[in-house]
Amino acid sequence: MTFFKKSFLAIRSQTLAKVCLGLTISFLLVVVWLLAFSPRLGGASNISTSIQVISVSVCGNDIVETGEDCDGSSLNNQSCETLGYAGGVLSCHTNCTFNVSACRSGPPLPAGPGSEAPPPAATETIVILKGMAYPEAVITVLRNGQAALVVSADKEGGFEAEILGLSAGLHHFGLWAKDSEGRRSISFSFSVTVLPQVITRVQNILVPPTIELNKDSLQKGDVLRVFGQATPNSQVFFYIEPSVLEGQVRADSAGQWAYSLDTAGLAEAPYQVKAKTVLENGLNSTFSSLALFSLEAVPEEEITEYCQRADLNGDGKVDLVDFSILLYWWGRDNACSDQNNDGKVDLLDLSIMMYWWTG
Amino acid sequence: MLQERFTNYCKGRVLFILLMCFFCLPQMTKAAVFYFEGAGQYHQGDIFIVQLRMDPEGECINAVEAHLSFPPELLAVQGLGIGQSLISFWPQEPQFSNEEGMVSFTGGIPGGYCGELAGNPGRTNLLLNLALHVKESPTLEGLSGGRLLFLPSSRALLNDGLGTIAHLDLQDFPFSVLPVFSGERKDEWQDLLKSDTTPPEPFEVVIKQDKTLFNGKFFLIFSTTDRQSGLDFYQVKEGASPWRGAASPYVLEEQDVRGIIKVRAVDKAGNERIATAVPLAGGKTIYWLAGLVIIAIIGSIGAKRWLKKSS
Repeated sequence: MTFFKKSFLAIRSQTLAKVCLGLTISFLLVVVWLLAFSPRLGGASNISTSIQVISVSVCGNDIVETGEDCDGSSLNNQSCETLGYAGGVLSCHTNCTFNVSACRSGPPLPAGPGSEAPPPAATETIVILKGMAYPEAVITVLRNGQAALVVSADKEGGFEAEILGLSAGLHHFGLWAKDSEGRRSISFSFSVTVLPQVITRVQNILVPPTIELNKDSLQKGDVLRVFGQATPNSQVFFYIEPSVLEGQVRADSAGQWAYSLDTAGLAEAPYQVKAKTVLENGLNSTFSSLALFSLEAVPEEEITEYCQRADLNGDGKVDLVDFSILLYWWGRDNACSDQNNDGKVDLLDLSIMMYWWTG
Repeated sequence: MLQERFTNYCKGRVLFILLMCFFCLPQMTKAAVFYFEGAGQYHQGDIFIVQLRMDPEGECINAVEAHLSFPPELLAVQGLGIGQSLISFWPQEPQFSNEEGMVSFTGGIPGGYCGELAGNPGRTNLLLNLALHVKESPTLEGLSGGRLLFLPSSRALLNDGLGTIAHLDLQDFPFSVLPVFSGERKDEWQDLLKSDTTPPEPFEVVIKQDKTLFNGKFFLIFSTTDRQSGLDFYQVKEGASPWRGAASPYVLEEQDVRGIIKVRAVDKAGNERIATAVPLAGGKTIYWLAGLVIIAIIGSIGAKRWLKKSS
């Protein structure tokens, strides 16, 4: 009789059930642990992607949404009296701000919301993009991959961009910013369904931080300094990969942030660094562009620096001209257009170009 | 007896756990999804539209390559609409073969696509509108059907600057074919085209020259979109020459670049938009003008001196 059979016979039936139950629970705990902690399975340590929570509101749908005082006949339970007036009839402008022109003033009151002169009626299809970048950053707005508008952020990093004369339908918008030192952020984009003759507001846009390294090639023991600019007083989370370090620093009131790393303990290898901004209210940006450094000797390459960031013609932009150059070399080998150096210009190189796109 | 009870008791439990893991683990692994959307039942003779969509499922995707197949004995492609597509740039525009039952395309999304925005009054994840004609066949009786499939060669890439290929879940689209409808036949493609009365978006034409491209010849770069039925084709007209079919980048036939250059973008519904380029900065015209100015200046100085000498 085998050992297993002897074991079976030696155990009472109730104990058998308990053993089985114990095995079941153990297995379930392992599965839960894998779910919670395995990056591969979408656990907490997955840092491949950081998604922004951008929201869209439509002015003209009779629903008061984020960023609107009112919408059509919906006044958000407000009246002239609640706005500090003696009486009258409150209504809503076509840009979803209160119209207090029919409110009756009593004794002098402090200026309330909607007390400014009524804005012009919205007869056009308008998209308003609103968010946070860096103090006095210059922000380029892309539409369908091409530069459409340039606006400046205020001293706190807030910006608002108004795009007029659009046709209704699906539009793809992108944004990138230039900070006070002339560094460019990564461009990131989002798609919006634009309805005709209404104002569509896209808010909670948070421009990723800029990032720069003091050196891109270091000896072991050198200090690597990672720095850039972000939204003032935000937390900047940075990641040095592969699997080296993740941490956070606070951007100062001018949005400047920095971190210093002693490379003595690192292996000789290529590394990449990226960062994201997180505001006090929990909103987070997408990741910044990658900053690359190496602790090993890198052979001299013929490829110029700008080719490595998909700027194939070296004009400081990644736009339609660079895409045309990529198309020219499509399926063939070209040192500049072959962004991942695999010997041919193909979909992978297109992906890298789309990442560095500036419009 | 005891062994049998143990075996049966545990068998049920283990089987339950294995089944749970089999169905749950794929959900736990992040993967973008390519899928079709359509009614699912079509009458012979109808033309219907199936939408190809993508859900990034928590990732950001910036490049896609799709290959799909359809049963050519049942269906034929009637049209391909990219008007509402989230793809902005097309290294390979959608192509099809009705003989082989294949459709393929490659496209890029600057900055990547990360999913729907909260509150957006519509859907933004369309890759392509595929218009299919259901063939009429007297041999098809009763209900028949087939599947639209994404082939395993389809790919999506992450917007991470590294060319990383995303995990991809490809979902089939089963459909049924019903006998010919006795009433009016459906033509969703024509309905889409008739509703489009808006020309393509305004655009610019740029004249470029690069010694490393096209043997240093002058070429044009242009791009626009049509947000309704989608772009159909471009044409170029150089000076007095006739309109010619074109794609960007386009090498100019007349390399002296003297005449006005026009590019016409036409959408699937026939609406058109024309952009014009006047070759001053990029062509030889400026050298001609500069030469004329110099000759005029020299001539006037010379004439002045001669007149002075004479007097």
